[in-house]
Amino acid sequence: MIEKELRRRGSKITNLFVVLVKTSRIYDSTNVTYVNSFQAFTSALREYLSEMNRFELQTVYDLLFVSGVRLRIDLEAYINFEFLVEEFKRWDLGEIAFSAGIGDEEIEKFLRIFRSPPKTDPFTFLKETLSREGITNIQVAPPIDVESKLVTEDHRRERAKVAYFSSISAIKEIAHNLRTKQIVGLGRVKRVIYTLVDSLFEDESVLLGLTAIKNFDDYTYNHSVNVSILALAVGNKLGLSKVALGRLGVAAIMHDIGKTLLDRALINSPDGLTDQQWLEMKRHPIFGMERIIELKKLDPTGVLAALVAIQHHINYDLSGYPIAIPGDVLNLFSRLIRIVDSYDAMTTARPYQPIPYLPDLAIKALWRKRETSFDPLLLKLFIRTVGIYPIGTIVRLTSGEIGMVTGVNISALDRPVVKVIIDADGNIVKERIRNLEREPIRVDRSIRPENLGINIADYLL
Amino acid sequence: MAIVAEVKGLFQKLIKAVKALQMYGEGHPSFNEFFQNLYRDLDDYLLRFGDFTLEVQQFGVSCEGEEIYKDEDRSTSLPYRLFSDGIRAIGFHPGLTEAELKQFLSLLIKEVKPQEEDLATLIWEGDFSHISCDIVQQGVEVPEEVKPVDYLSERGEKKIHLAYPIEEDELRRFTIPLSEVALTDPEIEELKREVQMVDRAVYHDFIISFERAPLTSEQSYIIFFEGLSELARELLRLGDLEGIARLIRLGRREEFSNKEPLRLRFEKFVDFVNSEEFVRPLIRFLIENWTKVDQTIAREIMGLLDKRSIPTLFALYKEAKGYELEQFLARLIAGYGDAAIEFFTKVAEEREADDVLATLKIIGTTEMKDATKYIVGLFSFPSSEVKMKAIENLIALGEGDALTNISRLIADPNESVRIATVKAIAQFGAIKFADYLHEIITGDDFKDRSYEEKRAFVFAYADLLKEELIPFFEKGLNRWNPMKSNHIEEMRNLSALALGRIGTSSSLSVLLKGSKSHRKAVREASVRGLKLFEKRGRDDREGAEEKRE
Repeated sequence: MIEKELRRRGSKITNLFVVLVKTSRIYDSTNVTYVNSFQAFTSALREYLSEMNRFELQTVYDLLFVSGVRLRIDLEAYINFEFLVEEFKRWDLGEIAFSAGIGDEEIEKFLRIFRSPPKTDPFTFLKETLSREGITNIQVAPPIDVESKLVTEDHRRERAKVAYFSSISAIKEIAHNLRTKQIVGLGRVKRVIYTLVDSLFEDESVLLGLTAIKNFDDYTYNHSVNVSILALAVGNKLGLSKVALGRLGVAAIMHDIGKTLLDRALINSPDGLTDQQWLEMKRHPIFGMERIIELKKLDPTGVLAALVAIQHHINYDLSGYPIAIPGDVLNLFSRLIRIVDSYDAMTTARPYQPIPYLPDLAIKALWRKRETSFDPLLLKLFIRTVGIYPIGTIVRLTSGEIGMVTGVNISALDRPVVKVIIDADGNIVKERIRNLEREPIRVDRSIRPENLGINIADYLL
Repeated sequence: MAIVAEVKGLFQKLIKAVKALQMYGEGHPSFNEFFQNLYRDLDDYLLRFGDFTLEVQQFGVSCEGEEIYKDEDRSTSLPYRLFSDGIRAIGFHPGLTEAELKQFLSLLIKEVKPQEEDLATLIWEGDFSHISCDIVQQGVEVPEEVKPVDYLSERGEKKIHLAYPIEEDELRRFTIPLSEVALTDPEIEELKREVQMVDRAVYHDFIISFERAPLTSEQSYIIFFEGLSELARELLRLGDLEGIARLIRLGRREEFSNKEPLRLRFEKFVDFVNSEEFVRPLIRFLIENWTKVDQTIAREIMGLLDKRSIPTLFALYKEAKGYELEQFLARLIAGYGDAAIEFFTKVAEEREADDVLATLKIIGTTEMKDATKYIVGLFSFPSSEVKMKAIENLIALGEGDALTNISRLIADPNESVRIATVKAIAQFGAIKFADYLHEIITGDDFKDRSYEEKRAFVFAYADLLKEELIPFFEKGLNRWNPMKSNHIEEMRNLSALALGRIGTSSSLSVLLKGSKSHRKAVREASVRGLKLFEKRGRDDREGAEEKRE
């Protein structure tokens, strides 16, 4: 089954499973609501099993997978999927698998057992009870070994890296062509963005990690690609279709294209801008809209890109530049780019801002400006995407260890997954992963990598 | 494992279908044959053996490492085109639908806009559920090592300006309450609503931003104006009439209409608005959303339609079902006045009776002015139904020259026209013609007319004046006929029937009296009159009962 189809049907069955689990805890087995949800789940499951033999529902960190394909936790599935992730955690479960030939009785028995876990060793209890009850077509497994998962994701990481660097190259090419007045088209940009979207569907954490690597190239290009990835990750949570994500990605990567028309000395000025220079700088959204229109693209992609270009410096309260008047409605996508653009700009060192915000502090700074500069709902969704300690943040743990955040726990945003780099005694550590949600350790504080001589790219690439 | 020999056969069929599509286009029987052949076998294969993958090389295609197709001619080679666009593998999966396969084939022959798209992007945008592609990014090197630029050391001792004031200690002390970061159900619903409307909002907001933005490049205005039609088409698809109205207002702004390049492009946009491609979906949208549409905005857009849109409006009128919709379209068409009449005349020249009847219906229901000449022109139309309707319209219009024309029609050399005319006169109660009818009925040449025509005239006359005519018909019933004139007998019979048709107590008493006459002819005619009287009374009673029920 093609990945897209697997994802679609996997989401549907998972959703029905959650509804059934919830219903079974409220109603008895004769209640019509229960009967209906039971039938809905079993018929969808059996249809799937007739083709695939086995339906495997897995969690890795807080992500849900069906037979190895990651499910989208978008607005539609937000509440149900979070519930399921929590349930897996309560039972210390990594996987529930349903096999072909499963009977109604087995499912009913399972639902009865699955109501509340015992306080000690819930997984063993579940596994043994299933066996004792003769439930052979539902198997459970403990959480998947994170290390082996990382190994199996190597090829995805490679693909994401290629997509990332291709995007930088594509936006560079467009900027160069615009500057030198050569023919410009969006073909190449579209192509790299579409690959980013595909990578995002596979595993967004790899791409989000790449956005943490800053300043290895011209700021504008590096930044444009980061903004695109961050926007795509939030857009994915919003439940946008694949094609809509493609358009959003193109618009995001093009948002600063107007800057290509500004004097490079102005952009890279190490000192503060004079009033006159600042006025000039404020024209880049207008230049951006103009250049995108001049690409002769008034199709949905071009229109969105031009809109985002002109609106991305307008605040939620309609202050900002270049222009908005009371009563205007700022577009959803522009509000989203406003957040991710600010976040990436704040966390990136530039000639005129050599000390950037640490990622967690940037998140806090954004949060303090919700309702004024940033859309509060989108900001929440953004934080739920990148966490309180975004991937790539170097942190000191209460254990005294120092590590880099490599994953986000949606149900415990302040307790990320951390790859330990230096142990409490100051020794370099290679393969130690701490999922803070499962351990009595907390983040003590974030640290500037350069203070420890750490190049995060060494760990993320 | 794919069955290579079978896949080879399938790919050859795919090539044939692609070539047929290229040569004949979709919908052509030759293409359909090739396509059905391909789909049937492909579907059958996927059901029996499951997925298979085609590996794409520069000039060939392989399956399981075995070459199954080769074409080294760069101008025709499909593998070459796929390979050049970065496609390295194509997978087909069970569940593939006919529509999907057809869409896929149409992409393979699509002429791409260089720099804007290629096969890889088109296939990706196609978002296929049962066809997958492996696409490579060409010419990109992933760096082995990446070192961040240290702007701080580069600065040396210079003072640091911060774009963002970093209040690090203060921020460290600040904590985001995690409970507040969770999205509540109403918040999720709010976002979902916005996501559902986002396509429409993007276009709408883009136009508002364009209106406001102090753009400096004349070229971008030119391109925007060039794209007005494309924008309007999309806005209409998204149901955003206000957006279309904004485009119109923008085009009419003085600062733009004064500029020749922009004015010319706006004119082209107006042409597009009047084309069938736009008018048809526009009207359909208005029809479906009539109660929800802002009428002022709708009128503003309709104001841009000129006589060029009449043929489309007329075509829609003919298809329209339901009184309200017909009225809406009829009024739109009638609103074009002379231009509409000019169009109707052209329609009549085509000699399609149904079309002409539709034009008459529009004239009739909207009481269109200045249509007399057109209607009169239809009196020579071959279809008597058209003539009848034309007369009806003419009478309904009731204008001075319309009446003159009616008089002319009553004397038309063609009997069916004369009959249709008097029937219409009666139907519309055009009492002003009563004297004229009297003149004809009592005239010398009336006797030479057919019984059918005489009946039409007598009945029309009776219907117009009713009781007033009882003495006249009594006279006709009892008329002395010593010479056995056929005409007098016909008129006796028709007078009796007219009395029965009038159906009042006075006309009944005349007929009863006649039925006791010593003259056989009078008796027989009176009995026929009485029968008609009774029948009409029964019909009326039944009608009244039905109404009561």
